[in-house]
Amino acid sequence: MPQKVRVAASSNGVLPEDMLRHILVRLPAKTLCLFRAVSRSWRSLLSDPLFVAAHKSRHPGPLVVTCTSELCQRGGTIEIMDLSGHVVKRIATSMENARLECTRHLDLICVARNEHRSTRHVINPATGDTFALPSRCAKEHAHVKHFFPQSFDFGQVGSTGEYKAIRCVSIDDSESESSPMLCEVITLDDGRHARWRGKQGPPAPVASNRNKSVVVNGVVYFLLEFRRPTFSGDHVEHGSMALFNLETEEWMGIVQGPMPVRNGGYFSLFMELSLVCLDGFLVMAHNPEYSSLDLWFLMDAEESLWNKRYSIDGQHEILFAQPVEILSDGRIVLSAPGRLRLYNPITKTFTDFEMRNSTFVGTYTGSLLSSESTFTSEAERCTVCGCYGTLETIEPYALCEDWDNMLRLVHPVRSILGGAYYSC
Amino acid sequence: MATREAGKKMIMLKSPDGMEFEVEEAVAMESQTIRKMIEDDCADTAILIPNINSKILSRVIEYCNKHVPTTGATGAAASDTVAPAALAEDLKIWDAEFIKVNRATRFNLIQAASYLNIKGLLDLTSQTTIDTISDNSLEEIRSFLSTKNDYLPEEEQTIRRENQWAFQ
Repeated sequence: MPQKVRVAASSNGVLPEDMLRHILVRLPAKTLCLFRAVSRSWRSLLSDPLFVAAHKSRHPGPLVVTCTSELCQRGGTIEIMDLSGHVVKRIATSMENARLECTRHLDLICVARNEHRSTRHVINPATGDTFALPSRCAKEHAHVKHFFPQSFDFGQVGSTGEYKAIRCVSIDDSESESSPMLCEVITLDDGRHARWRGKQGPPAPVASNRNKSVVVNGVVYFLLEFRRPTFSGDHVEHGSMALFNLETEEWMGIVQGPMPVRNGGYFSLFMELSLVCLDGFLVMAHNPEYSSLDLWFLMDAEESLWNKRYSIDGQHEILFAQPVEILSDGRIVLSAPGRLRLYNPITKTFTDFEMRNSTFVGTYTGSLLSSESTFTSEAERCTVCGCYGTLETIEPYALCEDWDNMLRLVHPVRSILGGAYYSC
Repeated sequence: MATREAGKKMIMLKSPDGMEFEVEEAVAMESQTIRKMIEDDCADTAILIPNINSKILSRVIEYCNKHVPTTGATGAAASDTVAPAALAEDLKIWDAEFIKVNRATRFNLIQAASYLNIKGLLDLTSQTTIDTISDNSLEEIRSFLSTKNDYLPEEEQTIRRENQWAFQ
């Protein structure tokens, strides 16, 4: 029988610590970060990993992430919201024209610079730490003249917890050419030693647009450019995907899309398809002629077995809507221009929340209470924007590859780190 | 000392200050801690509830009495006849009255609810405390919970900087 309770302790109006935990764990992360300033003992209680874990399991989320950039304004704003549209945390990024991408079911956020695909920052929203991914190609690809990163994704290896990013690179300037694409992988946990490493290229050209790739359980699914054949000359069925295993860093072959998807005209079909992770499944969202939103769950990759678990009707209701998440109560979170929509599949009704317009809406499943740093241990810190970079950055102006910014700096900051110039 | 009265099994609860409370078994079993003792057959004689004085214990029993799922003579749930929504609304009003107690009593109730593992009472008492402290300044929270600010001024600055987003 537990004998923890001390009556004497409370008769003078002091609540024992285990009671305090019971109460504080109910509060939102923002309030608790504020309460860290109450006293030393509160700070250590509210930063204790066990408390952080208990808080996370009581507030499982998910939280919704967007990123907006105003024209002519330096930096973008990342907003983390709860599912009633309240902004829980706002983070400024130093990146110009930042836009959100590949932010799903992780405790990290990824932003890229608009129209500048190779510049990407990975941000830990709890600590504010930012890691600038290098853009220089892998040493295996140093000889490549035309290097055009086409598609990018970012995820976590389940077994090791490592964060890895993958990019597929085209080496032709024109789409009509058919040289094989290259593939590179980087492990973020390598800190300053993080480098892109050359890997075997994808079996067929992968699509590069938004929402055309997703990571589910450590496997990256890339929608293929299905009007083009594989690099070995085979026909590609409409709606097919190439799979890449982030742990073994090997391609796992091609999976065909659901049967009804395979008979569409290329251009309309390409617009109508997107990939998303829902409920732990790879889901192909198909919006045929914008009349309904069909959610196809991949039940068995080897057999290309699909199940149309949801079909959301209503032309206006689902126009430009993109599924984001399925909640534990069965409701589906959809993002639509300017609003977040919660769809109840039983009553077939929507609950809407206003949201600043953002072209990509992601999810965050980490804890904003966490104070563990993800990248700082080995990485160098940029003197201008404060982001963390890799060894590659120990060269003038190499860190953020942000040439416009560099030109705009009247007196480019050059500090000496490890004997080399370092700035961005 | 389990006795029978009007067909209902009774349980004796004893507080450390020597008071005895005879309650229906169903009421006592609102507490998961007591439920486990009864199920493990540790409840033959009166159950001593350590650390909870008679004043608090009587309030806890009052809460459990109100919240025990009531059953009619035939054993059918009362909610068959009374609309569940109305019943819940009634309980809410009752809870709001029940928790209008001073700070020391409320803290004692939190501890009792935690020890006796009565989820509803723990939720009620915790939430009330949260409502009290959520909108207060740090200084008010310190005084409410009798905690002292033991930061050095520069330490406090660092803490505020590290958690700056929470102060906005």
